[in-house]
Order: sequence, then C-alpha cells, then structure tokens
Amino acid sequence: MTKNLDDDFALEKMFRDASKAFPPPDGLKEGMRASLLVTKAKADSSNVPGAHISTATRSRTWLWRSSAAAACILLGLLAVWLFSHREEAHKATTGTTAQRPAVVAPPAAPSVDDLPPTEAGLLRAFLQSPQAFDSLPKRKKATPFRTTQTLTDLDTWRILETMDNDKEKNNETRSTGYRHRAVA
Amino acid sequence: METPRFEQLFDRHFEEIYGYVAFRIAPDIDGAKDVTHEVFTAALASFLTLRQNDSAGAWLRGIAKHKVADYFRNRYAAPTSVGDAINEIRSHRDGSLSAAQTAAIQVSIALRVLQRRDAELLEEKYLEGRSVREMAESRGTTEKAVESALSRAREAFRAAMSEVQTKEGCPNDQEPG
Repeated sequence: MTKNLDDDFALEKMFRDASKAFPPPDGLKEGMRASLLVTKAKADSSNVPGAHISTATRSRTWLWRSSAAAACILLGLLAVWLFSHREEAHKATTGTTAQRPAVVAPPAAPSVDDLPPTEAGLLRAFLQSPQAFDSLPKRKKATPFRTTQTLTDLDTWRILETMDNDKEKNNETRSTGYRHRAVA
Repeated sequence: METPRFEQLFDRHFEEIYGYVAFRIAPDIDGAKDVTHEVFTAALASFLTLRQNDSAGAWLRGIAKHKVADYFRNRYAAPTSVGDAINEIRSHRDGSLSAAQTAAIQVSIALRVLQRRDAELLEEKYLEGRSVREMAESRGTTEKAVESALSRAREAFRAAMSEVQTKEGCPNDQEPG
C-alpha cells in the first residue's frame, strides 16, 4: 500500500476514500438538524439588541440603577431638609442659635469732629458765615513762566548767570581740591 | 451569490463534515457524532459572519479542523505514538469494520502521529484538493516552499503508514520479529 504514496493521484484517492469510509448512522442527520433548528429558533427569538443578556444580569442591572436613583433622591431630600432647618440643627448640636454674620455698616459720613481742632474751627466758621471769608486776602496766582520768545536779553543773561553760579557752587561742594588746584 | 440559509448549509455539507470528522477520529463513532454537532453549533453561532463570497464548505471544514484538534488536545496530554493510537483503536473496534474503514483508520492513525503542520498540508492537498498555489497564498509563502514542505510531509506520512500497517498486523502491539 505504501509503494504508491509518492503518487499524488494515489494519495488523493486514499484520502478521499478514507473521508467517505464512515457514512453517518441512520437518523443522525435528522436528529442533529432538529436539534440545531431548536437552537437557531431560540437564537432568533432573542435576536434583539441586548437580548443575549441573561435575566439575572438584567435583574442585577435594574437593582443597581434603582438603588442609585433612590440614593440620589434621598440625598437631595436630606440636603433640602438640612438647608431649611439649619438653624435648628445648629442649635441642636451646639446649644446656641446660629449667629448670622453681622452686616457690615457702610462707613459713616465724615464729621467735623473728626478733623483736627484748627481745621474744625475754620470749617465751622465757614459753614456759619461763608461771606466772612470773602474778605480774606486771596492767594496770589503763581506767575506763569515766560517762554523763551518773550524773554529779553537781560532776562536770558540773568538766567544763565544764575545757572553758572549754581554750577560753580556745586563743583565747589563736590570737589573742593580740584577747584583749589584750578584757581592756583 | 446569495448567502445560503443555515438549513441549506447543513443539508449540503453534513455528510462531508461528518465523514471528515469520523475519518480523523476513527473509530470513535460517538466522538464523531459529538464533534460534528459541535462543528455545526459553532457554525450556527457565527453564521452571520459568513460573507456572501466565502466558500461555505471551506468555512465549515476550517471549523471542523479546529474541533478535531480540540478533540485530540482534550484526549491526549502527551504526543500520540503509533502504538498508543493502535491500542486506542482496538479498544473501540467491535470487529465489524469494513476493509475501507480499516484503511481509513490506518490513514487516520498515520495523520494523527504526524506533526500537525504536515497533516494539514496533506489534508489540504489530497482531501480538499487545493492547488499548491492556493496553499502558498494562504500561507504567505512561495509555491517552492509549499512543494518542499509537501515532500517532507509525504515522506513522514509514508513512514507513519508503514509503521501503522506493520503494527496493525501484530496482535497486542508486538513488534514483528
């Protein structure tokens, strides 16, 4: 039998014959077909999204979701109750009524009494008879600085002279020794 | 090409799949029934993945190969030897086997003791009738490489068949003197 094993045709025939050597027993095909169709019908009936999830899993999921929802509702109710009864709760825990934070009053309007005595006296006098202050000598307005166009030659000379004097004074104060050597 | 309904698929390929499974795990007829049922149950579970252009027969044979491999993996912890395989067969044999079935069992034993890669090559080539080019494409290799592998597989198969026929002719697994 082994002498033809190098022959492709002989090998092919050997394998084909071997695969047909065992025909299925009677009734096996019909029985297996019926069994598979029952399995298929079950799969088809549950062929909706999520249908493969078992009943136990569904129950567990429903239980978890409902528990979570109930917990959220209870927490919300507790928060509302605590907010509405917070003063009583504070009293129950500390024995004192909860102190509301003191409202900070707006700063009072400035009073004459807050001023130093001299200014306060002047202000009172002014408030009583403001006309009396009209007779006081008015403060002279500062002389506006003249621009270079309006300076006379004499003014320019004076300004320059003043600046030179100031510069010499500064030099004397900063380096007296140098000044002495220069004079010598 | 319209995708066949599962019932059509079963009616068309049942004999082929059962014959292949029974031949590969012969003479365990009860095991062949169970494995065949497992093949079609697995096919039913993944039937929607079968695309229109796929060959239903090749798809079913692929499932059957895996189920046969699972069968042997579950039954044998250690690699099968020819002697073990023959003893296993003798425990199932009821004396009513035909000559064709005896020959088929010998081929089955020889395939069983081959390396899985060699057995798959021989099955594809001589049972499924695939060409060397198709086998090379499915393996991502060259036709020359497949030819070389086939040559080695044939050599191993011939040696295994020789051993099987020798031991099958010796009662109680006695080595010939």
